[in-house]
Amino acid sequence: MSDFLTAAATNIGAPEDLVKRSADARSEASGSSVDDILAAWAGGAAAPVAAESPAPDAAIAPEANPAEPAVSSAPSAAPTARVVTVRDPEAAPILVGRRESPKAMILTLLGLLAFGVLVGAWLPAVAASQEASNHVTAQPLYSADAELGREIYLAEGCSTCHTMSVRSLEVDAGLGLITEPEDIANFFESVEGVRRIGPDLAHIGERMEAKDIKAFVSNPTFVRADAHHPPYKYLSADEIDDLTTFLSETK
Amino acid sequence: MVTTNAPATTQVAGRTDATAKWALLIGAFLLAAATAILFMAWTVFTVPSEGAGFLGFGRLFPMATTLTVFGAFVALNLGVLLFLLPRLTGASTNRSGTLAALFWLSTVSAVVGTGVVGFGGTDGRQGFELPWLAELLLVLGVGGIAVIAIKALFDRKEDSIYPTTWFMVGGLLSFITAIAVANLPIARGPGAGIPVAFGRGVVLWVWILGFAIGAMLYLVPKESGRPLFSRQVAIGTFVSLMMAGMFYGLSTTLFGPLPDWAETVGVAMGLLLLVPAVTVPVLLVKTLDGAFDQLQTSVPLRFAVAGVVAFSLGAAVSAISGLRSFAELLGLTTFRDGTETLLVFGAGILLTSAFVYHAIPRLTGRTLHSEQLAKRHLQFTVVGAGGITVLLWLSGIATGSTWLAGIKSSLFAASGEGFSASLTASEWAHPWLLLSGFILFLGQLIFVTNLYRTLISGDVAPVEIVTEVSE
Repeated sequence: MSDFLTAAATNIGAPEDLVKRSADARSEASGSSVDDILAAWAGGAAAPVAAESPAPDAAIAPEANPAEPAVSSAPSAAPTARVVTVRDPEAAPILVGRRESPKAMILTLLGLLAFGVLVGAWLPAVAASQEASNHVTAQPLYSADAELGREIYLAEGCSTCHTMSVRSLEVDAGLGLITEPEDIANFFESVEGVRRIGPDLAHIGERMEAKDIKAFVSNPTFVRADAHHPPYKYLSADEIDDLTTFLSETK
Repeated sequence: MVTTNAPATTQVAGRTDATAKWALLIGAFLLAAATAILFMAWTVFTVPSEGAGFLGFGRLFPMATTLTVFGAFVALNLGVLLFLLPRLTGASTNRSGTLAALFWLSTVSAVVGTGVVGFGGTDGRQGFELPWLAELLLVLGVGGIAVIAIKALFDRKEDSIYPTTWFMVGGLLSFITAIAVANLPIARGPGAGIPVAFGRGVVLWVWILGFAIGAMLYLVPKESGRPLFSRQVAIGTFVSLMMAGMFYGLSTTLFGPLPDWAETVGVAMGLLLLVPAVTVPVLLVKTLDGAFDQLQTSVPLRFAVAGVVAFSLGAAVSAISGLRSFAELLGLTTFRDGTETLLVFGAGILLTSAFVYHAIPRLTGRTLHSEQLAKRHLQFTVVGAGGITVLLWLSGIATGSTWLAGIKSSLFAASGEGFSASLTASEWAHPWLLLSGFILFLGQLIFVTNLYRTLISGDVAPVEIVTEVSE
């Protein structure tokens, strides 16, 4: 064996002890003798092919020292067998997984997702909508211009800063009537918002007159010097009017 | 398949690795672009009179979040996947051309869609502002990659599944589901926001953070030479993360016009976040046990440790701040934005960057250009994301307290002049917020620069190549 080992180590360009250890591991995995493997690595006959080719990170024997490089080869591919490739020193037995079927994993994941979609999204959404659906009116809540304004409201990212939802909380006491499902029953899009960097607009039409809304949207700092509201100077006069109409009809 | 080391000059990496390399580099670039847009958003918010033309805060902020979530993290996560897929499955990479095409489809859709958001082409769904066509193409791209990844699992050469695979496949399936659910017109009125909130939670906890933690579970054993502490704990972590993520959205709508039972379920499931808040650091520390000295030398390990600290803190705060008593004071304030900044721009960036620093030398065959720059990247990201987090937390507490105090004293209302007063309570934070945002952007700029210099001028190093073993 020592002749083969020396020849294989020379051929590979790796230390003999590493080559020996790798040959042992290879022998254990493939069922062929260590001598056959070393002979193949030394440039002789090809070693018998393993029943199942080992994966890069998972296949090294657990007892191998992870800090040292192992050696592997491409037995039946002559060109690569000559340049016997040295496994990544870090590709150690540390990445051993557990024998399991991917089918079980996929089914588990799909099951979890189905449960989450059902209980975390579908049921709450449908339950909330059902109550609201009793209040959907045949007559639109908004005028045609206001509907255009609502699209501008959404497209301009107004709900990035503004909410349209008065909560049943003490801190919202000054905002007017608590938002009930029927108040937003006619909306398919969500206009409630998730943060309140700007004031809530659920009842803005009651608090401000249309001309004041328009003045503020057009030139916020002219109306209030310390306003952080962006100036929508790029919107056309018609768009400003539509946005104003939407807000003033939101009561 | 075997993973090999060979001189970069004599071997050529497969196309999967080539795509992985570009995905990680483009992801890093998009991350820098997203943080730049975020900085612009806070700038125009602080100084609105200066403005930025049609790019107001309402457009810039969604652009930043969209580019981060659907641009940068899609590219980065696909890079992680394409790097790990052959290494963890040993499966053939003969679909590398398709994978590359699907990656480009996903990334280009996200980038173009973000541009459209900047021109006002959105329907205003918070967190899912991309136009529907861009989302459809994104789903097609990521969905196609998911199909190939799952097929690779069935074609794999070894019979074991490493825990990272759970995080990756679960992330892919969850991401597609999140976009699909967020676009379904299954509800109207008060229910319309629920599917969107569901999608937001899933994308945050499973797609961004789950993927990042999965990548961390691969690189920490590789870098330290220590086996993963526990496979069971790792998979338990993933399951709890997934369950909590799917119900996170409900906890963000407390006290709104939703059924009480739905809110209660959201709060209860949100507490599950305490599990990964504990188990992720346990996995890291126990895996590193006996190899802590490597923190001195390993750049990826240092990033991983910082990322895990950010994740653990963010998950714990998220779990607690979802409780009704906290939501009464902090709901709708910037407090939640602070926590999500910590999770996305802190934990997400740090953990994913750790993987990029691990993978890029192996993919390019070049040593990292500068460890000093990597150190600066770490420092700037921690200071920038940490600064924004703390400021938004304090700002949220100040705003919520002012609303409450105003109501109790009858001095303020939460609208009109009263609302201006509540804003004043947090105005002190604005310049610091700008500074922190700029530092965060600089950190990502340093990251991209370091990677680019590695690509063009790094010293030649062994490249990790996945080669086929004849059977």
